[in-house]
Amino acid sequence: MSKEKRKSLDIKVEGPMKEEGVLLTCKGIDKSFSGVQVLFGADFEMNYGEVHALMGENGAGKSTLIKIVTGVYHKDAGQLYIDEESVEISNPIEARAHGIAVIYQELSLVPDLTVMENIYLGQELKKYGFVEKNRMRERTLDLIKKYELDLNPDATVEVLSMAQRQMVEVLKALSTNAKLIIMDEPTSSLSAAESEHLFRTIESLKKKGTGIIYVTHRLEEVYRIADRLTVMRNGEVVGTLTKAEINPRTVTTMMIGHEIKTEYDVQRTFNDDFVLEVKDLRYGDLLKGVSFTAKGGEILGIGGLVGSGRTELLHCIYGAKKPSGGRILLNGKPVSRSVIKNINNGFGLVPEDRRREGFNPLQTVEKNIAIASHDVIANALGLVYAKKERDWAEKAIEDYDIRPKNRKMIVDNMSGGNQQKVILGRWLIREPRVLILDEPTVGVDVGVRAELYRFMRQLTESGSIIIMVSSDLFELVQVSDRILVMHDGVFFEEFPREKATQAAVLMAASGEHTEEGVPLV
Amino acid sequence: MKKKLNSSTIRRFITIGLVIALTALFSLLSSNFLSMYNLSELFRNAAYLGLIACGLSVVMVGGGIDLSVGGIVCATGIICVHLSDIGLSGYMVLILGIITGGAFGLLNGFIVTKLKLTEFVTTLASGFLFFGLGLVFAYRDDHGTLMAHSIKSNTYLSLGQPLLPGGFYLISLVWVVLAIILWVVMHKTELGLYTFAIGSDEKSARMSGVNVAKIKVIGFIMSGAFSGLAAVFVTAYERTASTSLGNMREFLAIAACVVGGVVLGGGKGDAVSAFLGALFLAMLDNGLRKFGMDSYVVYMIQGSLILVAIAFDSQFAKISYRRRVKEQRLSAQTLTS
Amino acid sequence: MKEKILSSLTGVWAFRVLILLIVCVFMGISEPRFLTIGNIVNIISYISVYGIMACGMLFAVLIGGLDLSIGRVAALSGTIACIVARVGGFSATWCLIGIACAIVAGILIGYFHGFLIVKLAIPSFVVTLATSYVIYGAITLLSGGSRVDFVRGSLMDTISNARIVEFTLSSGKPFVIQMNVVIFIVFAVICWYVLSKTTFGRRIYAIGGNTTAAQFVGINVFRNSCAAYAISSGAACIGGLILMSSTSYAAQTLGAGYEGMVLMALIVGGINLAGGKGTISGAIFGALLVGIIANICTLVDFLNLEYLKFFQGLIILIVCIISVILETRSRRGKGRKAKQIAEMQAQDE
Repeated sequence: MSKEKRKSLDIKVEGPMKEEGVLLTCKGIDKSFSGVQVLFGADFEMNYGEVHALMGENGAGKSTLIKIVTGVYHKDAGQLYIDEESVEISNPIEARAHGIAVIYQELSLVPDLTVMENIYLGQELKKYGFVEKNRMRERTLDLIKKYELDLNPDATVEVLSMAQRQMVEVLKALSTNAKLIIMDEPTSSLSAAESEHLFRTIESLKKKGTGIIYVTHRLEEVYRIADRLTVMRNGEVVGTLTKAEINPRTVTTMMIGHEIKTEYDVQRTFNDDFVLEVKDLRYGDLLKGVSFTAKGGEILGIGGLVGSGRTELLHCIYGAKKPSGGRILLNGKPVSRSVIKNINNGFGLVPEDRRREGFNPLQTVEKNIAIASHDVIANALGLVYAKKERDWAEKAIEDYDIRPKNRKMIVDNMSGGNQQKVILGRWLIREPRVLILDEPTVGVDVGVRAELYRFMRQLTESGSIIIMVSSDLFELVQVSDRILVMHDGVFFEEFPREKATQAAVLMAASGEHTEEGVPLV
Repeated sequence: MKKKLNSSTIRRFITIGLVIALTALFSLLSSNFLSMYNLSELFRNAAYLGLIACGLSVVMVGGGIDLSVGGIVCATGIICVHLSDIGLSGYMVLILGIITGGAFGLLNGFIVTKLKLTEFVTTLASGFLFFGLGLVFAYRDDHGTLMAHSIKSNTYLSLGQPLLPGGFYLISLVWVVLAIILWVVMHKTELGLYTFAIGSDEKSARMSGVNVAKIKVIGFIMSGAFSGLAAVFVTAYERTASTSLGNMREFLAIAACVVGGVVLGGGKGDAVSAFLGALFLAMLDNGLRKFGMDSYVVYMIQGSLILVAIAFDSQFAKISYRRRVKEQRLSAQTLTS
Repeated sequence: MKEKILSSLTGVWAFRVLILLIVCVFMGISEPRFLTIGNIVNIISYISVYGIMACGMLFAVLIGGLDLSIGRVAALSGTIACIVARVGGFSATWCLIGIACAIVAGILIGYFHGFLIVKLAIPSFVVTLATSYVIYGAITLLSGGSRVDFVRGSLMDTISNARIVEFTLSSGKPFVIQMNVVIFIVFAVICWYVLSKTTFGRRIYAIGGNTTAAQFVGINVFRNSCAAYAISSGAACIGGLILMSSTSYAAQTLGAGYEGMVLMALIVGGINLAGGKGTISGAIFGALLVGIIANICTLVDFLNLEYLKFFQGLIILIVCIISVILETRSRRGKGRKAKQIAEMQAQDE
């Protein structure tokens, strides 16, 4: 294999030949995982020199399709064609041999090596056992010139910006003569200006005939660079739009499909005596002056794309991050900057990544629940009353139906839904006044989700405030009393519950004003 | 786009500056500091530490740590004396010493890559093991108490003799040559590049097709082999192998690497860093002792140096990260405007 | 599920007792002197220093750190205590002042470690290795490189050698329990109480298990980590005082290599070096085993105490390898389970 790769590198670097016509065709791809079908006869086609965007909600099947093309998964049925010839791709190495390269969100560059060394890592040009840096540098320069990039082959990757790093990653793909480059949400960690850099790179690739599949959540990027857009939903390809046909309304409708919305069953009342006010909150580049007011008894949903500053907002309110400006007031009094003081004043936070930030995997349910309630289970000297701790945990297990019903269970060995119940239960049992939830139902199955929503409702009925960030549009629209959508560091639109639809929220998150929402900028 | 300074290069310049400053200081204060005799002693001591540090730098650049080098020196030294006792010539012993040290390193590498123990625990424990092995093989009298045993082989002893009438030992020459070779290996060959790659970001290196386990094992073998080589020369100079051989050497070798600019955690630094660090530490030791400073002052300074050097790295990383973020923000603003 | 937990618990204890039994029976057969009352008392006395240090270092290990300076800290504490007490001619008051100074010094060293490790983000083993070098220099500076003797019969003597329980057995042999054993037991009980019955103990386990999660429930990681390192150094000081008392002088070499023995005790006692997992009983079991092995080496003629280092390395490696193998096996099982859960979730969608 490595010999073959080296041979391909010895051909003078010209990149892919400018070719016309169809590059890749997928016909009727089926895929199921242990009996559950996740792709239903997906069709996809792309040409040389085309940027083909691929959109769809989480779980729509985008990544499964990509992984079949790159040989990570094996398709159950259907056929792949490259250059209109039928091919079988059974592993990533074969995909590379066919000229298919992927650039993942998490880049695979080595920070301490130079641009050139990174491009040739694992496939160095060698003579008498020594690495030929000069020849590698020349070739790298050729590539850089050809695609008109702004890179120095001898710069250490560590000092490059994220956009430049992505260029290096692209060059790495091109150095293996890739003709199809798949980019998986490449701009999720880039600023607007950096994204612009990347788009220029993509245009330059396009001119030279490279095909690009561009997976994204951002509509504005699709307008900016895509020639065609394919939308997927629930494992099916809903349709492919040409550049002229792309407009926000059509795309969001295609992504969401037919919306069902349960009607309000009870009239919700909010308590004006208990308010959380956030005024002009700033945090680095991520929050550029965020203001809102939440009332007692309200579930305030916060929407927006990943990386739009939602998590930082929550952490600032909770006291875990120090805002660079602005004020946070609870009933007119400033909220403390200390997490433990806030907890004692009735705050609680369910973090985004429960495994990394939420629970202690080595400890029992009991300890994980009690860790946030030392003010309850211990005396002023810090002595823990074992019985109080046990009762506290057992009450939480009982009230929130944590299974297995065993306080000695190690949390790491439980299912995702029950782990989440442990973290939620840790706070709910304290009857918090302000509960902050960050993606509360990721990896939680449907049944448990309904329970979690019920617990949240119960809490608000006692007059507490819940602030919930969620990427799950369905959840956001169903559960929230009011939705604020973030875009580019500020709240972009506000949706009262009656008017919120998934499509409208999605559009607002992409920076498009809607009829349903109240514009805030 | 100019090549930016990283903490490793800055530290290398600081160390060079310190070496020059110390040379100036000591030669001004003491007339015999620059004498042939003193310099050859200085370079012999530096070479003993430096050889170990050069080998260790390979492991450290690759993101690992080897706390067993002291133990390897002890065990290899004693084994070498046994080998010469059974009639092998000094040159045979030299080769076998390198091989023995390399084998110890291979054991470390095997445990780390195949049995998946952390480098720290593995080499800490194997360090005990090797020291213990040295004790097992140590020369004892009939009552089981340790005793000194002189090397008889003349070719072996000649390895520890000065090359020139005024001094200058073979070990110093070997050290300088090997440090240069190692520098070339680290910067001009696939092995070196891959070592930097895994020390910098193991996951990315693996994704780019680097055989991480192989590179790690080679690193440990190098570290062991260099320690073995140092052991042969030291036993030859001391004419015997005591069980205190190599004691605390792992600490000094790490200190040499870190002071010279090998960043703990890997990815930055090379054999030249280890070379400079060892030279600096040996010079400090030599000079301070010359002025009647007791060994404890030297210990305290060495211990503090390691902390200062690493604190420098961690703070530098923090500051340069912040600066980079700021720069990017500025460049982003100019782009958008 | 309950049975599973129960069986795993008994499994650990069964395993520990089994190992102790095997070692004891094997030694009893091959070396008749081993199972005499006198020798057993001897062993317990022998492990008191290891035991105290292991209990203390457990705190550092639980938060995911290490303390390799304990050997030198022990030597330092003995030296400080003797030098300070010498000022007042080893009167009881001055002895107490000396002891207090030693322990305060140890605690300060621990806080210094905590600062470097947490605030400057330097790996704990480098920090403690480096400070142990500095401390070694400091001891020599204080004592001038020579040993510091104390007056026999002073309070310093009492720390280790006072006879608390003393009676003659029916066989006519004396049975003695000395002060050091009492200190060890009291210290172990306090540590056990702190770790399992106080919020501080809860916080230590929380930090070791998941530092980020601990911060999100309002735990001050810096302050608690510093306290853990301070306990480790403080325990090393107490161990050092006992060591000084039983050898009847303070010297810079006292306690050398103890960090390796204590580390071995912790690893053998099933304490996870990555932090968050481990108990006082495990640490004591480890110290017991280490003490027995050390005892064996001194009892059996053909073995020398120096061989201990060899065994030390071998045992640490073997125990670690076994635990890693067991862990990967259980993780594989867990991976399978996670896959099943993921599939179930996929079905829901």
